[in-house]
Amino acid sequence: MLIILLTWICITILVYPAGVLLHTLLKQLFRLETVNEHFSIHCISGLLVTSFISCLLCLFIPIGLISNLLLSAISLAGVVLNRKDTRNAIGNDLQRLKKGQWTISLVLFAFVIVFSYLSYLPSSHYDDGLYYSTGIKWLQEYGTIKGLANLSQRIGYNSSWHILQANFGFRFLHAGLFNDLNGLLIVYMLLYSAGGINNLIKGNNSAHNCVRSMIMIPVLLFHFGAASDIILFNVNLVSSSSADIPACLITWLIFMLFLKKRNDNQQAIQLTDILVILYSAWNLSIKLSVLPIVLLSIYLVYRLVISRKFNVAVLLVLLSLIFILPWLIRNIYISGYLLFPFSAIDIFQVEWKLPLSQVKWNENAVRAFALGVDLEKPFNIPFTEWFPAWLGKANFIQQVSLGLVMIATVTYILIVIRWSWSRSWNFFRRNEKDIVGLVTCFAGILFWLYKAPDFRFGYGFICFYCIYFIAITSSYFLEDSLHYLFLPIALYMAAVLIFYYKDRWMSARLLFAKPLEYRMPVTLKQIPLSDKLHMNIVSQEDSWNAPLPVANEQEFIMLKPGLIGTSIEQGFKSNKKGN
Amino acid sequence: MKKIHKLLVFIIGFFIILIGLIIYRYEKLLEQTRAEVSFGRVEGGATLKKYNAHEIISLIRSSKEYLGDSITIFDNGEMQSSNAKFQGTIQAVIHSGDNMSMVKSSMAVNRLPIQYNIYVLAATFYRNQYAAEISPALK
Repeated sequence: MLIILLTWICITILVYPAGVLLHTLLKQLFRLETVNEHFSIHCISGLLVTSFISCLLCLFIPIGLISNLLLSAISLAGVVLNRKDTRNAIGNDLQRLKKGQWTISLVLFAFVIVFSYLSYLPSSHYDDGLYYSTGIKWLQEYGTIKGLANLSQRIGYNSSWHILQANFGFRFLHAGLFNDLNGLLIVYMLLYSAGGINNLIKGNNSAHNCVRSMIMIPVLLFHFGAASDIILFNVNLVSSSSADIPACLITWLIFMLFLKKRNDNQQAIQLTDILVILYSAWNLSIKLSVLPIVLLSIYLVYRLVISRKFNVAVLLVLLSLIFILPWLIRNIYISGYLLFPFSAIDIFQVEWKLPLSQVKWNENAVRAFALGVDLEKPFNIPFTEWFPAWLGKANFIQQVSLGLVMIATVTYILIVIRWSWSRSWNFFRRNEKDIVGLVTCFAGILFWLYKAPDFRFGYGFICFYCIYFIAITSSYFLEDSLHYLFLPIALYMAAVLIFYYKDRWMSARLLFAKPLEYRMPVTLKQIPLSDKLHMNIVSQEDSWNAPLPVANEQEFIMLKPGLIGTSIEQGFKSNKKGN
Repeated sequence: MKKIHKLLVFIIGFFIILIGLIIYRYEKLLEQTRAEVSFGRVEGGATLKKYNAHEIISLIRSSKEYLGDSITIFDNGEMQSSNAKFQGTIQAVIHSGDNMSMVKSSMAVNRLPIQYNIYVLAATFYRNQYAAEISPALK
């Protein structure tokens, strides 16, 4: 655990200046006023910069020592060239820490230890064995290989989070497993949320601050079993490098930044708006299931266009496109498709392309798997039939969350009817951003229900929708007493630490434990690929950190992958007959 | 609405929702309990063997997964291996719900004690995790 904390400190030292540098550059580019951003926002922006650099580098070289050296150079340059802003940012963050309640800081510190423990635990996530670990290993040993999806189709899902994880996996140290970035992101978000709790204590009664204080409540508890009736997230989402947690947390952060009240100036755009656009592009490259979040960016660009700030709008769109370009190129490299698995966008005719039938299979399987039906049959059951049965099978907490979504939606519709009836259009103008935020969030829930109704894909939208509803309801009824909510929130956090994680505190011996060994497949056999190379085959879809190249037996038989040239670096193609 | 009335509505609303959720949860749990099949006791049926610590250790030693360590089983059912690393793997199995589900499903099939099944599963993981450290004779 201590070694994980140490890597988290190293990563923070690297990403914090990169984040401050990005903010400075954006302020200069868009002529923005200086804003005092939170420590976590600097770090998360730093992760965004690192993600972009890693995505770009992995197209040319393996991710490891060189990418880390380059990032260190950028951070160092950030500190040297941007010393004034870096010094100010550090000063502001230290000031914020001093002004915060020491009890909250203590609770936070305890949570950092808990999350380092949860990150340390060996992962038993099925998808980790199937493709997370293997995909990360490919990135660390070879970078981007053409047609890699022909060896393991799931690697085609290509999350930029795994590329970032490959960078901060430190495999080049040969010290053990360090796929612990999910825990670090939770810690950053927890620090951001704690800022909200401190504001509540100081008497901030805004609904936005209330959302910020409560947003991390769903991710404080992780269950250790296969399922839980009262806890949303499984511990495997922290102990593995699953992209579900970052996609969810970054979605929450985007909504919070979007709904943040503007400073009283006449600027057409602010740093938080730009971050909303950039984070949305980044989040899309982490998990495609968050696609509706782009509606927020479209709204912000639309506002710029109608206020005739065409240059700023074009620049922002270009920045977003530049940001996701390396990820899109990598998509084409590994699967032959711009977006995987979207069979409708089939524009590249490359040698290493995954057969179209397989992309369609994956497209159907994502939905069928979430609904627990046969993956091999096309899913065409109407919504009215599958929804009641699916909802009936959901856990208690999932039913409660969806119930709250329904209550919130009905309440919002009633509010809209009430204000439309009295023709108070000013109400809609005044709350335009909140309405756009809620519509986007609801669109996200509908998209999730339609495309892949597995709860872990939908929490980004569902939880925010519910917490926002609770916050504005509390704000309406409690008015200037809203800040007293800090008490139940703080007591809940302390109770979680003392009662829920009490057994985990007994594992203090793990504090000085060495990093875990890389997990290996149960069985491994070899099949010759050429005179010099052979393919490692796993029989149980658990390739984990097996020596490369590795493929699952079933997929190997089906896709019949072969080398494009004579070496692994030249890529793989499918020798399957037909499409 | 006056502030005090709003506060009152909020508190009453909060408790109504809380009570509603508790009742709903209770009903769901009752539903689950009713759905569980109870076979009842059958006179003359074959008796399930109860194992003592010595018999469990013998079972483990005769298993192909046995790692050559020394095992102690305490009177509270806990087990201790002389191999500290392997003890860590055993603890990891015990504290993982998914792993314990696997242990329980194995128990339902082989009708052997839980300690034996935990050992076998933990040893499988251990062999993969520390393949290099296991003596060739035990591989």
